[in-house]
Amino acid sequence: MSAAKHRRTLPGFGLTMGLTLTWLSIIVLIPLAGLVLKTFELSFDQFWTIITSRRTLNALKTSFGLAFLAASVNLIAGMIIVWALTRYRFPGRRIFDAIVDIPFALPTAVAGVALTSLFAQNGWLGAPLAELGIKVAFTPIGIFVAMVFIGIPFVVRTVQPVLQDIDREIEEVSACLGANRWQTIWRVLLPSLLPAMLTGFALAFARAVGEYGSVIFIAGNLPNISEIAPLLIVIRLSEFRYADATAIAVVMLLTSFLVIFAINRIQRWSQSRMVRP
Amino acid sequence: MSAPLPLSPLRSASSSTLTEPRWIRGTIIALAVLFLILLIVLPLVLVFSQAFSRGFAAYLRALVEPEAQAAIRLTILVAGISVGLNLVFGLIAAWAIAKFDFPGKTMLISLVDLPFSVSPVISGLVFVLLFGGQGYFGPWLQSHDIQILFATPGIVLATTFVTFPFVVRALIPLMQEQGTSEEEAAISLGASGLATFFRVTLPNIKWGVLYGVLLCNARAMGEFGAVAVVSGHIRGETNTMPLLVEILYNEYQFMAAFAVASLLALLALITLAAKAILERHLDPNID
Amino acid sequence: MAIEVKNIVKKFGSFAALDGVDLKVADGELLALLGPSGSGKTTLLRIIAGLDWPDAGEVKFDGQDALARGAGERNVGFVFQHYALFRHMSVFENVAFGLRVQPRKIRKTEAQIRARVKELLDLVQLDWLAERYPSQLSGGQRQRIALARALAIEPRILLLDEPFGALDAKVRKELRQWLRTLHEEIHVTSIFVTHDQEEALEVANRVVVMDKGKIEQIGTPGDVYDNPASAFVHGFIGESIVLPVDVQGGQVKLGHKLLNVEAGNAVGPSNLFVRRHDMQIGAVGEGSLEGTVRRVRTFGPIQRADIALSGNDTLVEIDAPRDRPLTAGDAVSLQPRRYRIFAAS
Repeated sequence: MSAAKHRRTLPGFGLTMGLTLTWLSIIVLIPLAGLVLKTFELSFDQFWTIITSRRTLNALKTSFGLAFLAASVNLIAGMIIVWALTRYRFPGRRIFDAIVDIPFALPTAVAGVALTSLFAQNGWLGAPLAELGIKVAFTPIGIFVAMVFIGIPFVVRTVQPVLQDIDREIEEVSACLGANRWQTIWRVLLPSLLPAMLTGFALAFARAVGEYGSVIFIAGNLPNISEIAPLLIVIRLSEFRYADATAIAVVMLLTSFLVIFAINRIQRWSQSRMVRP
Repeated sequence: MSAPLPLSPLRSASSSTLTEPRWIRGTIIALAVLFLILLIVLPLVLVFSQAFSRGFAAYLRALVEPEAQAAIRLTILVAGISVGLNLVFGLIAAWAIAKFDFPGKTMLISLVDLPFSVSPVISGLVFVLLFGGQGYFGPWLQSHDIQILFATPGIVLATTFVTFPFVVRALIPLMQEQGTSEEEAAISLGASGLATFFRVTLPNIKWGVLYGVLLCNARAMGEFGAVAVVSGHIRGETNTMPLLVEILYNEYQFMAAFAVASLLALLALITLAAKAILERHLDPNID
Repeated sequence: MAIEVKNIVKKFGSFAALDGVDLKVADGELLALLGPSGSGKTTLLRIIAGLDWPDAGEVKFDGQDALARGAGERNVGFVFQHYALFRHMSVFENVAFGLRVQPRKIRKTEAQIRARVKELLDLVQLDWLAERYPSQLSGGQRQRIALARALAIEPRILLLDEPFGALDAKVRKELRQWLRTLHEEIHVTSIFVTHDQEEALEVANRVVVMDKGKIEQIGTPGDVYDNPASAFVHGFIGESIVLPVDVQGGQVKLGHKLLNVEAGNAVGPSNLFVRRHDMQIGAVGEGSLEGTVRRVRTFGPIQRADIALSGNDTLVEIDAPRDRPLTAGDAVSLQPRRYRIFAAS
């Protein structure tokens, strides 16, 4: 009875798995494989020349550097927001909690034009900042601001559930054992939140590196100064320089895979460290 | 000695070790609220304020422009097709992944997630490399006079790629949590596979399906980067609403740009509200 | 319907959940599969139901190959441990489900379905809950609805996985009684899985004791209790005093002390199993074991005493009738009345 060996109780595994793999291949795997294939058409020298050309290098520096800076700011601002939302009661708390999701939901182009108008020299925030001598729109600061906007929900939504789940009794125990509030936060709460904070940071960073819509309007897009890598891909495509576009794309893609890998490691590490009772 | 005396020092001691001093609490709340208002609420308010800056009549006129109408129609068409496809295949994939155990399951889930971690621009680029003039299938498509890039099919493909994970990801945890015993019960009572799916599984996951479709749709209608790369910006033909916002804005037609943007912002707000309601339905603690 | 299970093997990875199981169940029996968790009892039940498939072996219903048919074609009623009621359907629709999904040719009319469901709800005495939803029921009610749902398809075999496992002690007792009575009424071949020996002994006609994927003993409740076939069964069913002994040439020794018991077939290092109430207590010199009473608790008709054996660190717990009161410090002798000796594994 060899057929019986492989029978499953619920029907449809073969059919649904077949359809899933087919659909996944058509929409996701084959297109991405095309990108990989295109990369291998380049010799390493060609690839290296493209990547190390001044304009490409500057675009990558702008994207990665500002994304790192924005994710760091997100981490700090995000922790303040998470703390206020989960630990304190204040009027409008639930509304502010909902507002955090807006950067997730708002189409990037809308966010882009809105932020640009807001921070333009005659804008609601741009005008007072201009009086202080700070120019945001059409400078790298603008890119940074857009990246902070787009990244904030990642930190908040990753850390918030973890903080909510932490049993209040843990803090009470710590207090009973004589720890002051600062010691409780530093020695008891932060270590439990650290994996979620790192994950949130990594997610915000990855999103900011690849972000296009909310950044290009406010960026100014001056080559070597305020030009981000995704925009350079678009420009190269419009010039039909597919090889250049592909090379930049591969660098970005590898980075996001590295980030995913890092996140997986962080999560595995935190799971092995904190076995739930 | 009167008994209640020790109470007040005790209480103040415990509150200082379990929460922060009043001024710190105040500062943290103020910082959080200020950050959210300046960076998130203000841009949103600005969209609507700019859209209505010349009155309601001008707002409506901007939206009935033929170009705006064409963009709205294309956006709805593209979202309809992409969401429909991702819904059907999302249900199929979720069944295969959540209800069965097989080697490589974690790997498959990561592959399904892949589009989430790819930059929108790259999501468009991969289709240009496949179907563009110098792409792998470009010459063949040209000789057969089939237009994918810079036309609706390309926009649909890029949108479907970008929104691929939404439905599956909404369903897998839900279906795994519900287990397979209800399905096994149905099968042992003589129900066929399809009857089991439609009568037992689907009613149990209907809120999850709606949740996935909602988020999938919001992203499909709002996608900018991927669509910008494959659309070719042909006015009145391959411009979706986000692309039209870009064009109008770059032409300094700010009021019209924000009028179209306001529709997309409204969609985002409705999506968030519906999401909040659905999350209440999906919360296992409230059954 | 009669069930025959032959040489079933089922592996999960390298772990053998079932390792060559043979079992015959006669028509109309009420059989208990008893064993600790991981003994393979639920896996065996699921294989009979068609919810799992063995790696080797046969399952026959009235002589016909059951493995050739899927779960839906075996006409088996299965009651899941956590009931698996369809949470989006009313109680009525849950019970009606099996009738509604029948092929159109043999499907009953709506009126017939309604009548049948009503009949079943009457049988489980819950007709007043027809319009409720599973989440509004108590555990015991869910259990009975799950049973009614399984019975709706007029199964030839009824399988119950830990039927009382998720219920509190009082409801368990009531439902045990009720299941026995119900079985006498409908008389369908029934198998239930349990890890609770009391439940198995009280409800079933026959008990199958399982451990580590193998059947240890099959017999009536009296049989498995009085004549356990292995050390495992003796230890698992009823509470036992276990003393490590050495058997040489028909002589049984505890340490250096020769015991006045029959060695049976055991040779070498062995274990002596005695039920608590089978240890005869007497004055010093009357039995082959001696000790000092350490502590006594009295409840109901018995007194329970901890006795420290002399020349040995062992503390044994025995049950004695109350006609000969014991007090801490008494020197006593012990003599096993009924016992078994099994070679130490």
